[in-house]
Amino acid sequence: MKIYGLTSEASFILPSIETLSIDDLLDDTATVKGAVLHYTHSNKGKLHHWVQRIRQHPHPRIYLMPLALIYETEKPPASLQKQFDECVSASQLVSASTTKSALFERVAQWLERVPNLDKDTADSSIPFKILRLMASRNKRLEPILTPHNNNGFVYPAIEGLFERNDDSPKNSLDFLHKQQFLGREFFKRAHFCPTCDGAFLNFIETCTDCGAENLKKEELVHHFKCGHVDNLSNFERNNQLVCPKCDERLKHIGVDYDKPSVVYQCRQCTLQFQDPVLKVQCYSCESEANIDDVNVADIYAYELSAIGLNAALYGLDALFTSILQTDLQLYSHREFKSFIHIEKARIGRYKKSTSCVATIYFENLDSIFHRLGKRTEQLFKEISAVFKSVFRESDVISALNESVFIILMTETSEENANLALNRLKTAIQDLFAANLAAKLSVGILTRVHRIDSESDLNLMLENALKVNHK
Amino acid sequence: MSLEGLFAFVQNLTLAQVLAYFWPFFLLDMLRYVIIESLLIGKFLFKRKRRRQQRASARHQLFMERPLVSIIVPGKNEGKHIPALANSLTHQTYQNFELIIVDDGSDDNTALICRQLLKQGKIDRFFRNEVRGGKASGANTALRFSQGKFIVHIDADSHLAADAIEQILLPFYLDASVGAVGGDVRVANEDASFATRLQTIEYIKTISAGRVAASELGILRIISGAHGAFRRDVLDQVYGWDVGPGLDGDITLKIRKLGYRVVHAVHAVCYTNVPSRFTNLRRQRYRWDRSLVRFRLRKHLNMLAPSANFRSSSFFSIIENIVFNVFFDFKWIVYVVYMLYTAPSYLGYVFIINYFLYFIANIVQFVIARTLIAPSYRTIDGLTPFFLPLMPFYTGLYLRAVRTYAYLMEFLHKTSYDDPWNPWKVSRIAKKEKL
Repeated sequence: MKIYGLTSEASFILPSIETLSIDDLLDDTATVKGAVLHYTHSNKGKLHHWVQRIRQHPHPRIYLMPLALIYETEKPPASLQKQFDECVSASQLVSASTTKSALFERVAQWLERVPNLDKDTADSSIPFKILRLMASRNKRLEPILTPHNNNGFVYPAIEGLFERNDDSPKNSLDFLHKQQFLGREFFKRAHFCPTCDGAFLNFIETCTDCGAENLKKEELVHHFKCGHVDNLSNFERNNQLVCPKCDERLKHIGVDYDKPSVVYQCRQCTLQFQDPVLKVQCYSCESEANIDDVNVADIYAYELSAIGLNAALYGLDALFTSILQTDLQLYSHREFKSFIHIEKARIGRYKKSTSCVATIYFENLDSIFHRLGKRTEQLFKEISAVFKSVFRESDVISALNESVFIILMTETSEENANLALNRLKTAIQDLFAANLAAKLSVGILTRVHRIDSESDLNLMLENALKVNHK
Repeated sequence: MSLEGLFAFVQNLTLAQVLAYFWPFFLLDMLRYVIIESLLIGKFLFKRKRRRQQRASARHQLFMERPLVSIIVPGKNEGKHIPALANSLTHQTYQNFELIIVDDGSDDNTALICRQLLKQGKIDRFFRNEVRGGKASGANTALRFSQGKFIVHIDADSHLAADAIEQILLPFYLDASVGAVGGDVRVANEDASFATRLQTIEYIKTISAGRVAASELGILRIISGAHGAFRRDVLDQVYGWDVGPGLDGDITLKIRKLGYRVVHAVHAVCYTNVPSRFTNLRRQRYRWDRSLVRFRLRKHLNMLAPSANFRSSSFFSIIENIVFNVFFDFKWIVYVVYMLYTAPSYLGYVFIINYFLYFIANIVQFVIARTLIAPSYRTIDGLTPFFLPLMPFYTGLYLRAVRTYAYLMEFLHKTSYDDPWNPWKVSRIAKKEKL
């Protein structure tokens, strides 16, 4: 792995690290490499821009590139540090270079596991890039609180993937969590402006009657002996507390008097009350709201799930299988093979039954994902409901890959199997028609094979794949 | 002992014997509770008829002025009663009031209920003391934040007749020297039990009739906490309520001491739920009765002493109270001992005749009281008068026993200071300071 340096200062040279311009770095997608970015107080803004350019690059070798931040004397702010995989001082770098490169090596190794890395050169989906970024680092994604963002928090490790400072990181993570690619853990609960979702709110106690903010808070005093209750200020006389009712000095709180509660007095309308109306004003949009209308939302830390890890390695298509897998209880390829074997033996022995293997291929399935976004999950759940209604408990379903399914339909003639598959086809096509615009064509191709003692699963699968390639 | 024997005994009684055997009835109870009270009520009814014009103009004045009235309801764990109370107030004929609820350290959902009602606008002000301070401090907190010209103090578990606020305010407009007005308290759960039937009759006799009579005589000494109205300036002068129990009677005396008149408004009706079980009734009376000793005989005994603000009516108020309640309470012990000594063989006859006499007295009292409250009388089923034959046992034996015990305990042990009714921190100070 080659490590390059990026700096805005011509004089800055690190031993054994070749400096490069950002454009040259981004152009070379063939080699696995890492970059060391040089921090100076003056290039703070530029550094963020560089990180953005690297992370927003579509090629996995570039956007997954391990990045280190090195500084000389002044330590960079935490929000910047956390956008990098490492943050080291220049002096440390020389001595600790071996340990630091461990993480860099990890990323390189992970990239090697990715199949077809050089064939599919573009990862355009941001959620997918998040998955890969997290998978290659194998790190928990934690938010940090920040005043620089309207939301009040940011996930610095993935910040560079996004063009703007809005809530799209949160939405992407939400989506990934819903799809079960990310597990999450409660981090913090926060209040957000109902108008602009801003996190910077001023909580104001206001008068219940006139709504004024100018309130005076006073303690009530209860004198046990005579039962008199009044504001503390009415008891104050020459630095002592004297009961205005019985003129006796109050000596010890809890012994001869106590303070049962607190009252507010409005300086505008003089009303006295105990429960002021709590209002909220947003610092960014200046809108006012009642406390009950404020959005309360939880902020989470995220961790990659096993499904997510798989999806990061094998691409977006794998996502759909996992959705169907959880909903349909698919059998693995190996299990399916065993079922076919048993069925073949059974039919061969009794010579009474007819069973079929059906193959289903969804064409162009990943386009649905791009098109429907969050709604994909819903659509796929509905598709699996169709699967459930068409197939019986005694049928065995397995997925060959993301869009090819094989089903063992026991005690079913070819004719009946075709009938069932046609029903499935129409139902799913109706679903697509209801959910997708006409332009998007998702083809469903099916084929039925009768099982006999000579049937060969591999042959059937080959046939299914032939359908696939038609 | 036989029926003939009884008749023979009655026929042979001479006037001297009648007095000798039944002096408590003829000389005290009949005189005080039947004859004098009836005369006073008669005077009241006569006067009321004559002053009809004045009442109309007082009412006119009240509604012209429309002063703000603060209805204050202090209490602990009373949240469940508040919604019904707030709703009942919407039907009042007099509507210019603010409803102030003070939650005195409730440990149930009272605060939650009240804050909800406050949001809905069903109550006007709500104050919560996190630490319980007792009824007096609760009432004083409410007073502290009230803005009305008149303060009406009611209990959370009671409800008012539709014209109660109007009726209780009228005396202030009839006579400028009135500082406080007591409202009539009647039993809401009349048909709940045997005990509540008896209390219904008792309330009509002692509160409706008894307080009208006392008011006529100018010696009314108590304004019940369940329903009373005060002039705000008068309450400010006495700095509100002092530590209870019995703070109702206490504040009435303090107002009297300042020279204001205290009257009873018999048609300002408040319905309250009375204890439906004798055990609870006993506890309630035990607390009430002890407070009489504590306040009349300890705290306010100075009203008997000639001083600058000495007033004969106040003097008689106290004397009447002490004599009839405390002193005469012990007369029955004297009477029993006396009878055992003088006529032990006639005890049975004397007991039967006494019962008969008190029964007749009860009927007379009830009829007069019923006539008095006729315009504002309300009954659930009209069956209550049939419980009259039991009244001599109820008042003569049951209540008397409770009262005697309470007086003795208070005289000997000052037990009222240990009452859990007040928080311990307050009782401790009160006992130490001999309040």
